[in-house]
Amino acid sequence: MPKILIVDDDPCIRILLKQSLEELEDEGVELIITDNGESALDIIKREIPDVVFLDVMMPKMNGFDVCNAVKNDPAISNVFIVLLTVMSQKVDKLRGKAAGADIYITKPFNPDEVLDVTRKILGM
Amino acid sequence: MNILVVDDDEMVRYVLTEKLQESGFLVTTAPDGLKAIELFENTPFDAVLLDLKMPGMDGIETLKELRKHDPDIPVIMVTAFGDITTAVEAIKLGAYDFVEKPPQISRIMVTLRRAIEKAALEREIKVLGKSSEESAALKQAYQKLKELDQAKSTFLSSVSHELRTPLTSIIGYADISRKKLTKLFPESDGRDSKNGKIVQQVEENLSTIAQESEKLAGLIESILDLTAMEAGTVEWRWEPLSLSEVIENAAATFSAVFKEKGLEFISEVEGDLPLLKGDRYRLSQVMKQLFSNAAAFTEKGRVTFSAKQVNTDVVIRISDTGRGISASRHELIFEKFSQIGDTLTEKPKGVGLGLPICRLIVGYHGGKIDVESEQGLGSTFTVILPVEEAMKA
Repeated sequence: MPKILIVDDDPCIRILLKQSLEELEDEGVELIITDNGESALDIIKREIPDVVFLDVMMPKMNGFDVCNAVKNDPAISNVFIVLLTVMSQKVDKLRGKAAGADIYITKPFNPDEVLDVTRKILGM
Repeated sequence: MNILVVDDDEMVRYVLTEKLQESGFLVTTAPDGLKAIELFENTPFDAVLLDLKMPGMDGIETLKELRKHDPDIPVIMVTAFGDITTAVEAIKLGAYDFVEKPPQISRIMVTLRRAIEKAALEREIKVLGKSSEESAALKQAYQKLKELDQAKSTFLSSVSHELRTPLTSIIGYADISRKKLTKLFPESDGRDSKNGKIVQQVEENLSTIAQESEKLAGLIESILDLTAMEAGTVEWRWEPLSLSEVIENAAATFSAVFKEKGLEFISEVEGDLPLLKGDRYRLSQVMKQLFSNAAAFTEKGRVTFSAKQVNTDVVIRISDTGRGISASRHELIFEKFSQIGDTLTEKPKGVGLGLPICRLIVGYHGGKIDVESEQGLGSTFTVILPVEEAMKA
């Protein structure tokens, strides 16, 4: 059963992502949600989700660092990471790339876009 | 260099004039102190060669007078052999140096040049001394301005960032709510009943919220863009690119918009445009802005679009038959926050950042953007991009 992890410290965005993706639940996808980078890394190691929607600016551990940790751990480096960023400046995108993010979506994002992207990644 | 030679001995005046002129100096002579002062009052001199022993007004008195008029003028005393005491007195009074008679030309030349040089330096030091106080104040003011400008950019950029997060929620929730509503009350249920009409209204309201928020998001994007470009923090992506592709893509996007408005759209791209080095995303931003302006300000008629190579430039023109821009506003429209339309009689179509951003982008590519337009007779925007522009980043 495919798993999707949503990581954002802003409850509005967490719920928005959940609602954007919840129709996938009917198709057997499990949504896991957390609000900080540290617990995100724990969950990724434990659950090995297929896709992670990862916010950048978060307390404790930021998105770049989580991404870096995931991509440098062979056990979980295959996890597909979608970096969610309010920063559309190229320098930030490059930072995301350097951290190994597979793709990034700039806020404000379109819920349909999030759903489409997820379907493509999961091949659904 | 203009030298005043003061000597009561005609022979000395003659010889000094000859020799000094040979060395490239301009020379004026005076036979006595009074004449010297009279000349001095009316002509600027670079130095004075002054005989010490003259009948009537002697060298010392003349020196005092000259220095009253110009305390900085270099004066070299010409003294009789052995008259050291008077020479020293002259130096105390501010003479630069003295040479003994019979004057040795080479020594006079050296002394003269040194005296003139020293006087020039002193003048410069005085100017600098005065301006160093001013320049310190200016420097401080400049620093302050720079800090303020930096603060402004940081402020705009952080405010914009902060605005985006709630906007994400607004746009997203409006979209999702509309979708959920449609799912709950599918359009196939009809919108004719009272409830159906309410459902439709709510759907439309949610669409409006999303659309307006998207506009706001676009505006924030522009502000961030502009501040980043002005601060020089934009990362340009220079690559050899096919300009034809960039402009044709933009034209294709907008041909639908023009069609919808009932405008004729004529595209005249001559042959294959050369490759040039540039930032694909930014150049397409420029094209889209120009097309979007043409669409916004043209009610009827046509939009003509052409691109061709002229020598080492690519010249792109977008002409419309819209309302045009009065000559007095041609430069203004490239200024931040200025509007093309009449802000008193109509709602502004944007915030006035589109064209300033275009100008910055085109400028970064070594090109320029201009407008030709007459009120009521349409506008033509011309973008000139050099093909051979070297990479700037």
